[in-house]
Amino acid sequence: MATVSCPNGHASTTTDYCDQCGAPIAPPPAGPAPAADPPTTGSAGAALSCPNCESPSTPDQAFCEVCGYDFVAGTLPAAPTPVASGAGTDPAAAPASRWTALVTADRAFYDMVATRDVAFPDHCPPRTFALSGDEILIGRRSESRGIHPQIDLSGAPEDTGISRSQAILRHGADGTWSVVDPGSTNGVLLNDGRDPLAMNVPVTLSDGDRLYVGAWTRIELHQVR
Amino acid sequence: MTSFTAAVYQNEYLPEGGSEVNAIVTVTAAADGGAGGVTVGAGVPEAVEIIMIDCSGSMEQPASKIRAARDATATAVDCLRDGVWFAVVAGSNQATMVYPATVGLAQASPATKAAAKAAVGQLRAGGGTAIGSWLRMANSLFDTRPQAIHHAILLTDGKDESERHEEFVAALESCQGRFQCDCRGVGTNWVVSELRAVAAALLGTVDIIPDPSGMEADFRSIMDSAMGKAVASVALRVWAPQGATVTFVKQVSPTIDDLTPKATAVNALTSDYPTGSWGTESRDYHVCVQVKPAAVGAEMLAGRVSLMVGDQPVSQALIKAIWTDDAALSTRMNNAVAHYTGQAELAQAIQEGLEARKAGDEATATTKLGRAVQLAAQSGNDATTRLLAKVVEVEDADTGTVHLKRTVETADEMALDTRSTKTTRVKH
Repeated sequence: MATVSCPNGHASTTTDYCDQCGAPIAPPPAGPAPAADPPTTGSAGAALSCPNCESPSTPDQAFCEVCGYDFVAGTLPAAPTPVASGAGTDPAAAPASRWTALVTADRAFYDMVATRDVAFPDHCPPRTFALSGDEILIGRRSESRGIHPQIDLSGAPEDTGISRSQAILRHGADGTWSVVDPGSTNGVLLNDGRDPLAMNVPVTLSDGDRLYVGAWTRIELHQVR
Repeated sequence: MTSFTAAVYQNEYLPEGGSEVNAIVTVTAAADGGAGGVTVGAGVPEAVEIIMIDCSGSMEQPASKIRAARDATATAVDCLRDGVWFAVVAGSNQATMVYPATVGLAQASPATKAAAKAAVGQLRAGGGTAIGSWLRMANSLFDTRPQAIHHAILLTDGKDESERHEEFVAALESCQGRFQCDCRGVGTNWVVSELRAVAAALLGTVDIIPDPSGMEADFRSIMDSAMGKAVASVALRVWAPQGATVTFVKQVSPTIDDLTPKATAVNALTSDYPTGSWGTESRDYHVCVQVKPAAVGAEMLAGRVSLMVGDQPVSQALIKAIWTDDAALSTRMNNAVAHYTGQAELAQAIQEGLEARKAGDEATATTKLGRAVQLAAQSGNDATTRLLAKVVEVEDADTGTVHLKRTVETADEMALDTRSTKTTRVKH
């Protein structure tokens, strides 16, 4: 099994934290420093406002809800997947890029769904979520069921056609993102497809792909290089 | 199909020199259309259900008890999903097969269910109570279907008195990890600590049915939950770094259940804690780890909690420690940790208070039960507040000022004792 070296010199099979001493394993420098990368701040004192966008946050949040800044790692979202230094490094690793999800209300989709159960919102400002981490749940928060999606679409205007757990975005080792429907009630449509995605079958996403969920929600995925 | 997700609630900031890391891990299992995460288990799982009914002589006193037990057992049989393997066992000084007639399991169908109900209708009371022998019988029946989800119901009305205590303890040990058992005591002549020992060892619930008439509804709800279980044998796999110690791993919702003594080592840094089978539900666990303090500004992974279905990890949660000299950060108690710490103290205060009351130590009983009233009120645990009010006169819940009641119904005291471990869910 491939291992990485932790700051204390242990060989670790886990790449986030050392599986011996628990020390954080920093991702290796990703070639020329990306201009947008803020300096890695010390974690202490950074908990009450996001160091990147200064939005308020609480200490139990791992990520900024507005820009997706990773409080724990002190990095902006979707930095390249940590690659083991030395052995196993892929020279053709994807260039540094980050992905965003733009959520809007789509009239044409709503008309196609033709539901009477959910009204089309007359005001729906676009919402942007930065994609970070290995797996992102898209859905509507449920305190009673303990579901806390990273892309939480329970805010107003709320598309109640969206399942609590509607879709999962997964970050592949090669830097790509894929979408999978974990078994949502109303399914996930991709681009101009009229048939919902098969449940539990991941589909790789490209820049500009559109997901349609619920009664009127469009989610556009964009790769920001 | 079931998918699992795990989330961590904690304050990861520790003061300089701080070493205790506390976190609440919320695990949610969702059926189709539920939470994200890895999906496990397809189709209808194989299940075995065994119903153990106390048929000792005391079940005839009054006769309404054995009648209610017959009716409740018939209801439980009705709740069996077709295809589930099942058996009904009558318990006295020994275990006797009721249905099927010979030692073995029957597969639920309209015909076998009707035959089982006819056999249950013939149940007569007589003899003593040896719970250990009933459990051993159940264990051997479950053994014939080793891969299935194993669940049992145990009903008794009396004290385990027809076997040596060592035999009871040995039976519990041999059954541990083999099946789950929900225990019910009917009336007030059974011993809370005995059934609690069975339920704790066998990852089940324990409750009082004060009046025989409540049995049928209770059995129905147990069976509904048992038939909803879709995934057998889920374990929490907890890794902690070198030099760290896992102080405890406790289930804290829906009830308090200390899993620490049930740990089995996977390797030097990792242990598995069994959680039994899962339906569509959400449970909270409190994990406490002692780590070696590091320098201010340092970060450490204090625990990695993986949810294991067999050998397959289906979700994981990270417990972190970050040392800071900012007291505003390190002194803030996470509200989930605070809530469940209070709920655990509440259960302990009730059990110790009732113990002291039985021993005639009124001063200790008043202090402990007063503290319990205060904790229950603060945490909004209304069910426990109501039960406490049947045992003590509450003068002021805020300060925990109470007086012991002179006369207390035995059933009320036993209900308070058995239900002391029921917690309220934290509001995140």
